Amino acid sequence: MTDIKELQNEREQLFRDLFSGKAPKRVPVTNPATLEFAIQYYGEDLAEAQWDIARCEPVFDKFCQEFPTDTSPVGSLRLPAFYQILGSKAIVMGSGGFMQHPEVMGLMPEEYDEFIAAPYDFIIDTVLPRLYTELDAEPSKKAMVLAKAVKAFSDDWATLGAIRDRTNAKYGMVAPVVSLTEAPFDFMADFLRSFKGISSDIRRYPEKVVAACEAVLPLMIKKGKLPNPNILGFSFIPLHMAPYMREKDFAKFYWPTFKTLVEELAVMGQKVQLFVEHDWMRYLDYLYELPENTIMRFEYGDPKVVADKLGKKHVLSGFYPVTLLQTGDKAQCIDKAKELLDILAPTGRYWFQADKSIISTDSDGKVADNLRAVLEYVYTNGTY
Amino acid sequence: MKSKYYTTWEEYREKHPELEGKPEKVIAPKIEKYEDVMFNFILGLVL
Amino acid sequence: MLDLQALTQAVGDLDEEVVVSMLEEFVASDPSGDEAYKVVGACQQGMAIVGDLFEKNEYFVGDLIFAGELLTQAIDILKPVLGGEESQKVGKVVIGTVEGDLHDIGKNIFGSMIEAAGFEVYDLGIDVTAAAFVDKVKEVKPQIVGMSGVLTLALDAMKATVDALNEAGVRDGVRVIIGGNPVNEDACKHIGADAFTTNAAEGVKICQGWV
Repeated sequence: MTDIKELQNEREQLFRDLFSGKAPKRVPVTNPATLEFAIQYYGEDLAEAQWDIARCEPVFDKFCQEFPTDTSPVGSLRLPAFYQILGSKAIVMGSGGFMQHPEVMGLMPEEYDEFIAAPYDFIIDTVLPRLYTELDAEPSKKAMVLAKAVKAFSDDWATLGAIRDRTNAKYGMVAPVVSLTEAPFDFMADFLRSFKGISSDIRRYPEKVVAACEAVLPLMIKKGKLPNPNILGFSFIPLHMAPYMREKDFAKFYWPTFKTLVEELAVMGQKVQLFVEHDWMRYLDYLYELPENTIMRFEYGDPKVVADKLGKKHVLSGFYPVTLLQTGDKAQCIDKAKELLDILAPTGRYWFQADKSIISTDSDGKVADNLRAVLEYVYTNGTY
Repeated sequence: MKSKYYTTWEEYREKHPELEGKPEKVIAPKIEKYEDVMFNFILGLVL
Repeated sequence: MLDLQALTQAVGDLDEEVVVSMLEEFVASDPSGDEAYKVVGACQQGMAIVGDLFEKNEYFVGDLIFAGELLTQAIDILKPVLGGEESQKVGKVVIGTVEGDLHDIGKNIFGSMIEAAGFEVYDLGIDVTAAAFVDKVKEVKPQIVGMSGVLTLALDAMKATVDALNEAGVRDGVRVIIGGNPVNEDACKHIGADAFTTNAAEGVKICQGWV
């Protein structure tokens, strides 16, 4: 047991070093496959296991044992029970058992002024009843629904948290504390105005969009706060809309409040991890400006260019294409890992994560075999 | 952040004179905690 | 008659104010159905400019989405003067997001762009089963089937759909194009599709080459 504790301490030290800009002893490894993958890989029904979380424990245990990595491979799960209780239209379970986010619109264009005046109140009074049908009810009914949902949420996460703690203690993994928040413009797009809505709004009501981003900025900062900035953890900010915008629109609508968000979190002493979704190569000079040691996990782009431009200032991650695990053979998969190590490890600020999460299994088990080989390769050969 | 659904401890304390003489140093963090729990839950529903 | 070239340019510039005021003025002048179709044609040419600017990285996906909105709005304004005459459709296409996947942004962009290019579009929506694709293909006999998906699991559903088209004996009558984040050449071969794209404008060009 003390060996395991030592291993866990050693792993924690890897991340403490990495997050503070020191080259760790070796490259930390995070499993791109998530609990959803594990549930299916070990033959459980995805929908049933997400409803009955306790069932995940043996699955998660085997997963951590057979795919050893430095961090706890839960992924960003959306547990279904409280969404069901709320009558969610925003997050729903698809026919395959995966929780997904269809295009929804919680805010109508003519409501911008009211929203800007008091965004949190507007969300509670108007947006939630639109996106969560059970909250479209008289006050007492609404209070009951909300109470049930909060209880279900907290029970399910307590169950999952206990499973994770037990498994981490057994295998000596690190589970950084994570808070989720969004760039204000993405927040306006995702659940409030929709991709389609916001894309029209920036042309029809540009000043209102700017004002709305400024109005939600304090909410996003608060949502990104960790319980204690000194703990091992980070605010996780998945970035959505920027690659779909012209640079001049990005500079006007997206960047100013996003930059302030990251800066404010950094001032509190917190780390920030950006999931740099889609292709951000046009915006590398902007990303450079963010506070030192911002963690950036890239989905696309040329790792060489990114290492040159950002490698002296920020922590780099991502790039590894998980589709290769499906289409390539073992040697190709390992070569790709080696190639990324050769390019990114010399920065001294590299964390092995893949470009996307792996949430589904393939029928012949090829993905799992290739994944195991890649994780083992990086774990053993990941020196700076 | 101004909101009718979010109350800081100072605002709460003002509305609750019955807390006079009670152990405020343990009450305050608790009241604040659940204010924040709800804030995080509600925001979690729209991101 | 309005200045068709100026209209095409305004659509290309995504200048909603100018487009709307030109069209409203045109409709108020009580034009013939024939004239109205020329105006629709000018809007479609404007959409082609949008597609070109997208390929040149001057416009991005958000701009394409707005272009779709603008075109829908234009057609709505013109509807009263379009009369009963049907415009010449260049082909039929059945589209949908495959089973297990609920993402529809990419599909919707492709749908509005290919509609603007003069195709008749049958949109089956999201989480569409292989059987639903087969039924629709049998019913409307399209030249093209377009399948969309964002999750990696969509690739399996696309393959299952092509297999189902084969089994139903209708695969040879259609061209199959797949689109979305996870598609690539290997996936395209594995699935048995005729083409793949991650770019809606390119997808429209591929389809135009087929009819």
